[in-house]
Amino acid sequence: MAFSTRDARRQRMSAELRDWCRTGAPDERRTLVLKLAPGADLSQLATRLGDLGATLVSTGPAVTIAEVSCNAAGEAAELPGVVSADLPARLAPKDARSQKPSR
Amino acid sequence: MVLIWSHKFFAKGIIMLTKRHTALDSGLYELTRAANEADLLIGESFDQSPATTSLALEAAPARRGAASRPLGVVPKDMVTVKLLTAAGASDTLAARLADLGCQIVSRGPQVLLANVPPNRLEALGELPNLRRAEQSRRLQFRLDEARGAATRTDIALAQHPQIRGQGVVVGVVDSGTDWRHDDFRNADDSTRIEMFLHAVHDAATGVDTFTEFSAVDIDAALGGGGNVPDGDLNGHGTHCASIAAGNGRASAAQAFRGVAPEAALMAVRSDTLHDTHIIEGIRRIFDRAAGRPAVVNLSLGGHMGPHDGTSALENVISRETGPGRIVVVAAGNEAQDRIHFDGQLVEGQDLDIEFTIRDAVQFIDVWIPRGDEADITVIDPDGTETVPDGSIQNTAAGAFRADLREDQFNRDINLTLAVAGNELGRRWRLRLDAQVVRQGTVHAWGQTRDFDFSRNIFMAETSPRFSIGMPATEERAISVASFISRAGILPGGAAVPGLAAGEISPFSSHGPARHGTQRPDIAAPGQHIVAALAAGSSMATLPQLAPRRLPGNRYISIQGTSMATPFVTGAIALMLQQEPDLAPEDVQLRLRATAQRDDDTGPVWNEAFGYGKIDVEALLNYAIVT
Repeated sequence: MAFSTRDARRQRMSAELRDWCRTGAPDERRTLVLKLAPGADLSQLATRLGDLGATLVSTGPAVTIAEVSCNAAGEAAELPGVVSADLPARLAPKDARSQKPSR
Repeated sequence: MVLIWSHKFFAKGIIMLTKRHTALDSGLYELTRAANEADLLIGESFDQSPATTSLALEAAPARRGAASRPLGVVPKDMVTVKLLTAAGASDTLAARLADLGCQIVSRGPQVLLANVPPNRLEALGELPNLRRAEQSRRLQFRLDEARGAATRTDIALAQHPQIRGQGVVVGVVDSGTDWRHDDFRNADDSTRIEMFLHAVHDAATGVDTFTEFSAVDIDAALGGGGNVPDGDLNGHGTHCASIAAGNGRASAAQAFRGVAPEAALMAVRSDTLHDTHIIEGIRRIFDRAAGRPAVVNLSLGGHMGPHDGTSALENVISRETGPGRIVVVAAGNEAQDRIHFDGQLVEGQDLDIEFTIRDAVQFIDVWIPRGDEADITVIDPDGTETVPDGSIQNTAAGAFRADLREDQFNRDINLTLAVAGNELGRRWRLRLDAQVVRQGTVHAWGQTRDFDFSRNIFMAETSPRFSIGMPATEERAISVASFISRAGILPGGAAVPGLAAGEISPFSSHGPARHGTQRPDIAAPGQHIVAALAAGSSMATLPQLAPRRLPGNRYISIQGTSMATPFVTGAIALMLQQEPDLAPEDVQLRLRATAQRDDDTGPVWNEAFGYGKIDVEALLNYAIVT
């Protein structure tokens, strides 16, 4: 059976987050990044997240960051205005600490 | 009224710049021998030591290919002048210059570098097809070297002594800022840092916390009390903050002061640089600025994501910036790292993305345009083909996991592959068997788990193009490349072989963004920059960095687009003091309009330099001119 781009479903959650939802303890909590649709109602979203027992960490246009329990993460990702949910991603500092050998 | 610059000549043999208003053609430069107070102020920033003339050539953009050769010593009865000529006039002009007793030092399209006898300077004004004459200024040592000829910052500050960043907030979201360092303290020893945000990602629980400290808290800690955490365990953020807005208080004659030394400072400390920390850091700084203009420095980035401005962090930058709210981002240091692949899908054919295993776990992030369809196979180094199923799968050469997701913002298909090879140095392939092609261009980026700079060498087929990282790919971010402002690591040290002042830093990531957006915007000095060293940080203690630390352990020389970025941040702080409501687009327009273009940069935007090298003098005069 092929692994095809045709099968790329409109997953709102990343694979890593789906794994956590599947394997984590129900009351285990993590910080999630919720990407929002343009025009998302922030106050309504905050209320709905609160109803799910989530704690708002950062809110504003485009992105809301919230601490969400494992058993509520799936519902949080499906709230109106949310287009995707991900675990935090790491970035790297951009100093080049050593002279790289020429390649 | 047209603003022009007038070269003025001093008895000590240094040409100075002063501002004059005239009705003359703005392309003409008048050479005079007059002096005034403004000249003297500028003159102080150019040490008239005997070494001055011998260093003059280093300030000039050296000709490619000859860049690493010793350029020799300028005869003491000569001054080095950069001449911008009309198109096709270089040869004729060179002959006329020779007739005047000048020596041509370097020649390129529409730019000549010449040693000119002082008594012939005025005659330059009579030469046909000479568009502009500029002194080739000495590059000064240390951070002030970057402030010198390379960017004209000291000249700009001398012309605008009231512009030091007052009333503007400079925020640095990074590894923190050493709030104990003298460069971030006032003359009365109180802190200059108005807000310090400590962002922590608990690896065990996956939960982020943010704790905010005020200037009162920091002052109490400076007095021995309080509970403010260490400012910066890494040292990276301190260095960046110092370049943007350090006051140089710990250095003799404030030699290592930053670009906007009187700006208000806010610092965010994140030891892990999670995007959640960056997002909240940006928001917190703009909020605490409370209506004051603010510019946020992000000397960081990554490559897992769409590279088109639609990632979460990029969306935040797009939406949170506006008039008086600017974010500046490093382009990245991956130009040499073979991190990027791009290829064309052709229906019925295979497209192989071939990469080498460099770390215990590494990631390949593939973006396939919406509408295109392909079947995917993973081929390990032994040639075993495996159809992914979304779970962790094993082959004889290692384990991998592939995941497919339609991006909810741009509708492109995102294929992520995590590989844990049994052996380093072996090549794996990701095969895309194209079934339907509507757009066809596939991009992929590689990244190791731990961002190991020395191991970021993945793709069998690659080029420096598209190596710019996120969030520098966001259109409303000011994205910054690095050029070499001093070829030697330490002040007075020998040049690193192959490096020449003025050229693009070899590591500086190239644009454009995935869909062709012109990124980076501008280049600034990022190699090599001496700025504040955080006490007790890894930069202060790692043995391999010892050769980069200056005596006294208050300053260190490092390099990267990380260092170029705060230089632009500081310059924008100066601009915001002049014009507090500048929006990102206004800043980009000014950077584009005023950028220095020379033989290194070429005449138009390019993927390494962007629009050219930053010219702080021209930026601060832009408002006056227009």
